Amino acid sequence: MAKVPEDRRYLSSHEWALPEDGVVVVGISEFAAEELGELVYIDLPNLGSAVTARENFGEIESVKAVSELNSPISGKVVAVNVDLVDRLELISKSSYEEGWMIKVEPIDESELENLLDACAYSDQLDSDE
Amino acid sequence: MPVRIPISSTRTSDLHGSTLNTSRLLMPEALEADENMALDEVLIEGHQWVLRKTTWLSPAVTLGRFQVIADVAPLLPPITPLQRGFPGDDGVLPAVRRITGGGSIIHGGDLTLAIAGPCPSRPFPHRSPAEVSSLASRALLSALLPYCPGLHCRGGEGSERRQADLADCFLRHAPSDLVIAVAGETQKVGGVALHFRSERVLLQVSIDRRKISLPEEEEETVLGALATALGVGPAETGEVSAMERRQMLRLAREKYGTRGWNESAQTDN
Repeated sequence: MAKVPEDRRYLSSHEWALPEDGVVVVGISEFAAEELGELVYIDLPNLGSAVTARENFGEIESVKAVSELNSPISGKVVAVNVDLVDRLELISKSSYEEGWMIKVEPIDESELENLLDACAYSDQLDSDE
Repeated sequence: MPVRIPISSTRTSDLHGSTLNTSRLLMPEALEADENMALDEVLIEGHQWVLRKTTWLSPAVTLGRFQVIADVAPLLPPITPLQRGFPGDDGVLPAVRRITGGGSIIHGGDLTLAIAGPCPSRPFPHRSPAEVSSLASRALLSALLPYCPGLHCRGGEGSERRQADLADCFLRHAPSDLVIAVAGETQKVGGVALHFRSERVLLQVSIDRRKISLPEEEEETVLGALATALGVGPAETGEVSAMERRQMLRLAREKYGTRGWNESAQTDN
């Protein structure tokens, strides 16, 4: 059973958002990382670029499949996890910690309230299986 | 990037009032490579399942979403990034970047298909690349077996990452490959590449025509059989709508026909 930490919010498309020191850290869930399988490439936004809630902020390739990554929140990208460029396996091994993808300075942090909490996201995973 | 393309959907209801998706079969005229890739992206946004044959106005190479053209060019026949409105040199194939993963494919002599629709949904209940590829491959096998005895799915394990240096899709091995045995050697007949967008999936398929005996007049029958094998409802032959065509041309102009998209694997976010 994939872990679903209670300290963050989730999109139904499996991205998570964690408020931390005025920014929102974004990544994909352990479930999503397991579903994707072996990761091959990732394309993340540049520093300073704008992201919009529920819209594509990047792409990740695994097993001949490219999956779009959706931002849980609107705002400006203030950090990108450059370690992923050479160590994509961090997403699979530590999807909630070292495998984070971007940090966003939110326009309106209350957007997070519209996302799934851990309980609702776990229910979604249960119903998907 | 990316260019977003909202499209209205068509749904039919069955007699019991529940929603039944029919699938559309499209056999459009031959298109330029940038238009073919644009049409596939337009079709990904529809709510219906769409299965279409991709016909190439002239031979072209498609690159996997993250392939770097400078890396793959030495391993392929002469190619140049496609630029709409600028015809290339004789003997040099235009190269257009797909939104699906995997390796490069030389088109013109292959049977190219695209399948697009909602995911997760009945044929593909999970958004797992390996599972979707495997299910699609089995459906393709069912539709193509009458034209290629001995065709089967490769199965087993495969590492796309370890094969990233192989430019050509047909040199790479994946469990979902369709293969035949020739004189004790396993030869790849076809493969599937995917793109997942929110609640949608696009599958692009390439089949090596030299390894199957499929008369052109039976291609539509194969698409219908593929729809049946996927279980995506009764298949009805349709046309590319005027709106879809406008969106296709816009995407061809703004994305697939640009040197920027076709040359660089990184988006300009």
